Order: sequence, then C-alpha cells, then structure tokens
Amino acid sequence: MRNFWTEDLMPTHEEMKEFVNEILGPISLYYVNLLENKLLNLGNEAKVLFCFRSGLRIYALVDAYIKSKYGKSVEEIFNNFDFLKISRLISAKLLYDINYDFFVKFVKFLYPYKTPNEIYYYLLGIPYGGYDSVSDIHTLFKQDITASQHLKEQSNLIFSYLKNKFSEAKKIILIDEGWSGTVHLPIQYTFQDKEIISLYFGKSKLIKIDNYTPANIHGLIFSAPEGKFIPDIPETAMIIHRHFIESFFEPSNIPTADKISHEDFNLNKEAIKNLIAKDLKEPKCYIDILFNLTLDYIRENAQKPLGEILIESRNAFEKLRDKILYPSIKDVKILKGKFRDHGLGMEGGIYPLLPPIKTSDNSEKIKRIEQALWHFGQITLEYLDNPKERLKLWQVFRRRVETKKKEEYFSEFLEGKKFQNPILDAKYNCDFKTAIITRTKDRAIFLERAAISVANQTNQNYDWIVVNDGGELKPVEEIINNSLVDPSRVLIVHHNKSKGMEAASNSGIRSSTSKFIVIHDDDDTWEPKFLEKTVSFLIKNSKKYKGVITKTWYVSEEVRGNQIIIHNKIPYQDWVDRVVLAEMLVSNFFPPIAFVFDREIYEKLGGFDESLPVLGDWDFNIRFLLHGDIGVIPEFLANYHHRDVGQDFRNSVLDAQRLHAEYNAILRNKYLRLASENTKYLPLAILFNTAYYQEDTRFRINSLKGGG
Amino acid sequence: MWGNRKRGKYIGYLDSIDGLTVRGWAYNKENPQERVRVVVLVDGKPVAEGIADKCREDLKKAGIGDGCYGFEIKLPESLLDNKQHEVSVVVANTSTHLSNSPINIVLNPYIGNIDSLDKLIIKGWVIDTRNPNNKPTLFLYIDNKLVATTIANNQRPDLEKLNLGDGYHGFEIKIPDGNYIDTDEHTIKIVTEDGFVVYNKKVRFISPLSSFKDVYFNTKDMGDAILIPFPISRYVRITKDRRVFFTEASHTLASQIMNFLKENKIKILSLDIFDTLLLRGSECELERFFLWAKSIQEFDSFDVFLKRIIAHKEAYANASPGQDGTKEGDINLMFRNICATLNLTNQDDCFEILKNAEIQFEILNTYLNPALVNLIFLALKENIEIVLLTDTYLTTDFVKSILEQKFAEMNREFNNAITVYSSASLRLSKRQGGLFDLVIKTKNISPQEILHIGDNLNSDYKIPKTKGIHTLYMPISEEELKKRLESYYKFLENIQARVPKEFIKEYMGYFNP
Repeated sequence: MRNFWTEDLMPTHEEMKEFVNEILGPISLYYVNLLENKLLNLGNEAKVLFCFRSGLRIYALVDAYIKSKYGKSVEEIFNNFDFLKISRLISAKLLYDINYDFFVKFVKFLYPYKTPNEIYYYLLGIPYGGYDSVSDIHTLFKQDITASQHLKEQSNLIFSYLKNKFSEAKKIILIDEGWSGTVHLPIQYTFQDKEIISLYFGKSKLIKIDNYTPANIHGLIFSAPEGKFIPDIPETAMIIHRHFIESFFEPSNIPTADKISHEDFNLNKEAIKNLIAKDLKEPKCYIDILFNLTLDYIRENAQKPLGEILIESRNAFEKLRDKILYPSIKDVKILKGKFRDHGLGMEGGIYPLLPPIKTSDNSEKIKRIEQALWHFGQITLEYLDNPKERLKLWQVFRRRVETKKKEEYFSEFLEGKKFQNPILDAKYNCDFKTAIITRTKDRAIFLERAAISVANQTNQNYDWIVVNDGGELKPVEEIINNSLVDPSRVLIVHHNKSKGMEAASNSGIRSSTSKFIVIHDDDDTWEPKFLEKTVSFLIKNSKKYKGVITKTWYVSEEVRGNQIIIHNKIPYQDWVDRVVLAEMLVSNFFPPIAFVFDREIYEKLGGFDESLPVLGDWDFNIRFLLHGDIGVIPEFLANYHHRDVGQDFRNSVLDAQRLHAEYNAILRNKYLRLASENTKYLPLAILFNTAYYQEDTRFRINSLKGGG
Repeated sequence: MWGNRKRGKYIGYLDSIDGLTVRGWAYNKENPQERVRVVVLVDGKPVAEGIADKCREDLKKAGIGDGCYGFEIKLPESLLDNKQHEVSVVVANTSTHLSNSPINIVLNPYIGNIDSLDKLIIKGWVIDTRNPNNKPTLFLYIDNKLVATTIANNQRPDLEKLNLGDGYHGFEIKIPDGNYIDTDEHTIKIVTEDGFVVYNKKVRFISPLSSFKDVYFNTKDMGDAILIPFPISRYVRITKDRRVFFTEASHTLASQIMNFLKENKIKILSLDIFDTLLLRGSECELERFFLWAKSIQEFDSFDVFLKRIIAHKEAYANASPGQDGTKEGDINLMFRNICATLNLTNQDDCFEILKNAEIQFEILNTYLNPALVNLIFLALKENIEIVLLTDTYLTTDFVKSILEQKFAEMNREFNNAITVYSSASLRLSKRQGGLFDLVIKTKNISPQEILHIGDNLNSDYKIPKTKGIHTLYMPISEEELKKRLESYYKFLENIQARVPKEFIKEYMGYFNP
C-alpha cells in the first residue's frame, strides 16, 4: 500500500523550488532583514538567545544571510549571542519553586483539557497509565514527596541555567518562532529585574494569567492579536496554518527539550552549531528539503536591496494567503507540514491533515475537516472532485477563522481605499474642528473645572468659546489665563447683560466656525476621550449620523466653600442605546454635555429657540431629529453634574421643576399648533400625542409599583 | 476730460446718482446767462427733466460763469426694481450728453457708508431716501455667508448736521467671528431687507498682529464683545501660511515680545528650534526622509529610506531613558546602523555621506523665522541670554551646523551667546521637563525670568507653564497641519503597493504628524 504522506502527497523537487523562489525565499529573506535590523539597534549590551528548537533553524537562516552578505560569521556582527535550551515545559517547571500558586495556574492553562493526574505525569515525564486518582493537582504533589523534590530541583536548576545564560545583561532577547508568549511569561515573571524581549516570527493572542501578560513581544512578520486572520493584512493568514511555519522551523533531528540537566551548563555554542549543521545535512522529510532550498535562496539573494525584498515579500504574502485559504492539491502537498510531537511531555503527535476516505457521507467529511489542524487543506482533500462544494466550504470556514474586528487605525487604508483616517482627521484636520460652547455666569469654581475637562481632551482640534453671559469678566479671564487649555483656541464672548441659556448658546455658536458643535456647560465635565471618540464616530458615520451621544454619568455633588464635593456617580438614562424620535417626544433623555452635532443641521434649524427659558435643549433635539439621526457610543464619556445635595449653586434643573412642567405643556402645544397650520408637522403632532399618553401611562404604572 | 469734448456750445457733467437723485451741472459757454434744461433718460427713454440753475461754489471757483448751473433731479420710484439701468443726462432738444453720461447702475433708494472697520466692529450709516423715517434692517455678509443683522437706527448727530435724514441712521455690527481676523481679504456686503446692496467691498479686517492687543484691551468697555485672550497664539494658528513672518508684522511681533521681555525683566529668552525658529515645509516626516534619501547619490535611495525608518523606530524603541525619563533616538546611532547594513568597506565614509545629506537637506528645506531672528538680536543687545531648546534625534553638532549656515544666509552670525540644548545629546527633554530644569539650574535663574516660545502644546506650553516659566505658544497653523496630514496620507497611499502591510503598520504608522 502506498504511504499517503510520503508518496501521494509528496511534492516534486521542481514544485518545491518554485515555492521557495516565489514565497518562502522572499519571506525568509525579509524576516532575516528585519531581525538583523532589530538586533543591530538593540546594541551589544543586550544578550541575544536563539531558543530551542525553532530558534536553531532561525539561527541557520541568519548565519546563511550574514555569511553571504558580509563574508563574516554571526559572531563578528553580533558577538553577544548564545543558544537557549528552553520549551514550554521547561518554562513551566521554572515556576514551581518561584511561585507555586502561579505555577499551578500556569500548568492548568497549558493543559486545558487534561486531568490532574495526566498533568502530573507529563510534568514528571512518566508515561500516563490512564488512571485518575484525584481531582486536584495539589494533592498529588503533597502525596508524592520525591516528585515534588524532583520538580523543586528542576526549578532551581532551570533558574541557575537561565541566570548563567543571561549573565550580567539587562536586556534579554529571546528569538523564537511565536506565538502567544507561553515560554516568555514564566521567564518574565521570574526575572523581573531584567527586560525580557521576545522577537517572534509571528505574534498571536497573548497568554494571560491573572491579568499578567507578556510585556515585550514583537511579531516581526505579523501580529494577529485575536489569533485570527485579519483580512486586510495578508501576512496574518499564516496564523490559521501556523502548523506549517512550525514544521518549517522545527529541526527534525533534535528532540524537544523537556528538562535541564547539569550537562546542559557545559553545552557550548560550537556544539549546538554542530547539531544544527548535522540536522540540515540529514533531511527527514520534504519540509527539511524546503528549508535547505530556502537557505540557498538566502545565500543567493543576501545582497538584495531592502526595497526589492519588501516588494517581493509583499507579493509573496498575498500568494501565500490564497494558498492557505484556497489551496489546490499542489498547494496542499507543499503546505501540509509534517508530523509533529505534541510536546509538553505528552506522548504522540499530530498530522495536520487526515487521509481522506472515499465516502458519500458528508457529515463524516465535515467531521474530519473540523478535526484537521488545517481545515482548508482538508477540504481540498475531501472534495477534490467537487469544486462547487469545495468553494462553499472554504468560504464557510474562512468566516470562522477571520476576525470581524477591524484595525481601527488603518482600517480604510488597509482595505485599499483612499486613505482617510477618522482618528487622525478628528485630531489634526481643521476641516473637522469642533466648537465647544461653554455658558457661564459668575461660577468661577465650575469654570475652572470645565477648563480642565477641555484641556485634558485627547482630541485638541477645537475652539473653546466661553460665553460669559452677563457675569463679571475678570474672573473668567483669570481662569482662562491660568488654565492649560490651548491658548490659541480660546475665545470669550462677553455679554454685558445676561441673554439667557439658549441665546448664549446661539451667540457662542455664531462666534465660531467649525464642522461640529457641542455645548459644554461650565458645571459639566468630560472624560479625556470624549471628543476623540465622538468626532471620529461622526467622521466615520457621516452618511448615517449627524449627531452622536455617549453614555453619561449622573454626578451628585455639593459645593462647600471653595470645594466641590462629589457624592456619587450613577449611570444616567442607562437604557439609551439608540435615539428614537418617538421616545424623544416623551421626554428629553440625554444632556447637552453628551451630544456632539453637525453644524449643518444647526444652521438648518436656525439655532436654539431663544424664547424658551427652559427645555430649549429638548426642543432643539426634537427639531434636530426631524433632520437627521443621532448615534450612540456605548461608553461613559460624559459627566452630567447636579448639585442635589447642599445649598449652594443648586442646579437650574432642580430649581426650575415648576417652570419645566409649564414649558413642557407650552412645547407640546407649540407643535400641535404648528401641525394645524402646516401638514408637514402632522405626523409629529400625532406622535407627540401618543407620547403624552405613554408618559402618563408610565407614570401611573410607576405610582402603582411604588404602592402609591 | 470734459474740456476737450467737441460737443458744441454745451458742456456739463453728471456727478452722481444717490438713491433716486441725479446730480450734475450744465452750461452754455456761448451764453452763460442761459439756464439749461436737461433731460434724464433711463434706458433711452426720457423719465424726468429739470433746469440746471442751482448755485454751486465749486463751479464758480472753477471759473464757470456765475456758478449757478447745478441740477438735482428726482427719478420715479418705479425704477427701484433692483435691475441694472442705463441713466444718461442730455441737454433738452439736443443729443448732447453731459460728460460721465451714461452711467450703468442699479438704482438704489438707500445711501450710506461704512465709517470704520476695525476692532471687530463695523460702524456706518444707511438712509432710505424714499422715507428717512423708515429704519432699514441690514444683513451683513462676509464672504457671502450671512453672519449678522442689525437695524440702522442709532443716533448720528453728524448726519443731522449734514441734513441727512433725521439723525437716527447709524449702525454698528459686531463681527461675530474671530476667525475672520487674518491676513486675507474678505468680501463684506451689507444688504437691506428689500435686497439693495448698500456696501460691497473687499477688506482686511485688522492688520496682522499689531492690532490684537487693541482688540483685547479696548473691547472691555464696549459692551458685548468677542475677546481673544491670547491673540498672537490664535493669530499664528489661523493664519493661512507663514509668510506672515516675512511681512512688516514680523517687526511688530519682535518688538511686542521685546516689550514683554523688558516689562517682565526676562533674563533668558528660550526658543524651540524646529517649526518655531526654523520653519519646515509642508511635507510629513516620512516624505522628508524619502526626499533626504533621494538626495543621496551614492546609494540605492529607496533602500536607504527604508533602512532609515526602521533605524528611526528602533532607535526610539531601544533608547535608554535619561534622568528625567526621556527616551530619544540618536541620529548618529541610526546612521551607524544604516551604514552597517549597507555592507560597505568604509563605514566612516558612509556615515559622513548620510550626515552631510541630512544637514544639507535641513538647510535647503527650512527657513528661519525672521520675526524671531529679529527678536534674538534685539534681546542680545539688551543682554538677554538666548537658549535654544529642541526635542529631536539630531545631536547638538547637527543642529549647530544647520543653524550656523542658516544664520549666515541672513548675514547674521550665530553668536556664542546662543546656546543649543538638544535632547538627543543631553538625554533630557522639554516634554519630560528635564531640559527646562537644566537651564534653570545651570544658569542659576528663577523660572519667572525665562520666556519660552515654541509650537508644541505640551512641551513648549503646558510643561514650562506648570514650572512657572513665561510662555508664548506659537502653533503650526491649521492649514499647515492639514497639508502635512494630506502629505502623510498621500505617502502611505503611494507606498502600499511596494511594501507589506504589516511593515506599513509597524514602521510607518508611527510617523503620523
């Protein structure tokens, strides 16, 4: 019987050469270039350690590159390097005597589906008998003193081994293939006096234990923070078939390192270099040949200028992405990877693909596709003669492996569209400036706080218009002079006599030019990200929304002498997740401090209604919604402050409840009258009426609930 | 001129059409006794006539008979249709046109003028000649955008004295927008409620810089007003380009700051260098590095460019922090590393090539801010010390070479009394505060005796201000910033077919303006 792996799926030498020239060669050359630059810039004080086992092959790439480019040995360029015998298992054992609790959490993370007994045996390197005695790993260590003694010794031995390798260096560079920092984390945890930096080929979703996570990991070729393929970045396709990269970098003749012995202390660089050379001389499977061909490519092309390397690798990434997601049978042969040990002390290993069986049972096939490490390759094998079904399944699985989340910063650009970045534009492009209108009158204590709120915005693309509505001018000027608000962005609009809230808004707005407007009253405040998030939202969704609100805190406070004392903070109208006109007609449910809007609509509406002494913002919101929609950012970025405790500076909202009730009626009547004159207002009037009954009903239900 | 006209015995002139009144004079030089009858034609048809017999001093002084040849003829209101008409005046029963006739005009019942146009306020008057009791509502347009309305009914005794209306025709419009105060011309148009244009001219609101203090201080007792608390900072932000520093305003600015130095007994004038004293162009940093690489003949320029942005990023990422926590990349290290990967036999030559290219590039692509150069030499005369503080990857030797040459271009000597402090050399920075502390300590001076000027809100304004240092914030203008942003967008757009996307993210995302 033919061997499926070594015969049926064996690529020819020509196919391998073509693949190396087109894809693996350019990518590897690009990789060693980046690595070279990183190492050069890290300087010689850093200790560079090529980590077992993939680091050994990475060293082979670097060695080939340096030799043919400079005619020098790696030592002549980077003298402070060495090899490090390490693996996830060794790294885990290190923790045993460093912090036992952390060690337990770490191993549970490493073996998520294993019983305590299994884990226990794997750690000790004893074959697992299949018998589970206890449910708690801790009990096992207590019972078996020799075992715990052994782990303690290992932990100490590993610690001295690492200490020895790190010597006096402050910066430790670990060179490894990837992905989530499992080897890195225990080392970082143990050697907190050193800066541990991992240079990976690719970086995936990082390990996290008790919120502790690797600090300094670089994915030189790609970074896929969710562990998923990012469609805009072809490089990240490799994360869904990392088995291939692992096979590529894994020496076939050097076994996994699962413990440190005293001999390892004496294992010098030359001995390991010999191991690497020997491994390369004795290829065991097709991928070893692929690796050797790649070394040849690097030797031949080491002198290439970076510009050429970048364009070739750019094209290689796109081709590789397509081969990973939609592989032909030829691609499967090359990309299948090899049989790899499970590692971590576990017996056995895994083939990335399963030999296909001829069956008409689709569910059987799907099951096998699910099981395979590389779903897309398995789909090709299972449906070799059914291109239609094959394509369908590729697409189904593609949706599963790709992230829906976009790279916020570069999203538009990475999609190949004309580059316009909402975040950058919001911050720096004067076409998207915001006018912040602050109405104040003899309330220095609040204005001072408002100035801090404005000055602390991460988006500084605004004009701050302080409308001093009939108050004393001097204190306003003093506060502004002493504040840290961008001085080039402040204007004071001074009214000799107070004109009222809405007139003050209009006056401030008309004294400014900007794309967006927001009313920031002197007693309210923002979180630093308020403007940045709202404005980039409006730029991003300019077709859909003309205004945006954020979630808001209701802040209870009190003024005592020169101090504002905050009593508590609760979500304000927390149910709001969208802005519906019909709901707005029941009552106003967001405060001005949370609302950024487009000047275009303000102009259309002719501004705020200055005849209203209260509820002017409600009236404005109703009219606004007749012209455009308002989006909601579900983050608490605005603070709506109330003096509902104490005597000084009680809010207008609380003081004027009677006036509110009166004008509530006046407003409702205003729109009904408008409807009688102009049929355009008819639907609004009907809605208004329904809303009135709705409010009334809600009120009655609430009184019943309250037992009233 | 009228004297040269060979129109027979009649001469005369159509002086003006104000509202509906046509004014002029007519004279029979062969018979000075004759009081000439004149006819007003509108679009070729006679609509009114009158006798030219009003006595005018100017005519008499000009030696025209007894001077009593003037006329004032009222046109019918039906012509107030806001359409253009041809108005001409002829001597009755002849085809003799008076000089300056015909006039093409939209007949306008309003007369008026703008008297003053400064301090953000337009003052003037408008009279409805049909009915002086009617006080017209006026609409003010700036650059064709409606910005304010008012009614022309303020008391104006001067108009009454001139017999213009009832004396209540004045108006005052506050320009409600600080953003119009710039060096540009703006079209001001004042239109009445019935659509007649009373005023339509291009104006500059305020001469740059000098008037800003006026605006601020004089408006205080003016009633409602817009105040600009930091006029210079605002001005440089909203100005369209930096040519303003080359106008006469640069002297005003220098002397204004000089006064401040004297009044506050400043002993040290501290200036930021890049984008303050030494102004850069509108290219983003990536574009600048690209052009720098292009200026190097000896190597593959794209290769050098890519190596530089990698070296730049890595140099910053790996810089070890200085005493105040500053992590600054060092150009020398970047260039050494670029040369190392260029694989050349003589690394020192390579370094010199890159260094010279850098210095030459900066010299060619920057210009000194004349206002601040003026200020420096004014201050030196008064024995005020000058320190130049810069947060940059360029070490002091680079910065000095650039400045020496730039000063020489202006025939100025880069004086020994000017000290350069570079964060790359000192590993202390403005953004971390250490450079300011260093100046205070080494010069043994109190913060109140320093004025610092710069373009970065945080490191040139907030940080020194919190330390008690006097500050003048002179930001990059909005237009300039936008241009740099666009240059950055364009650069990324062009590069994306040539390099992997992760590479752009990792090494170019970092360079946003």
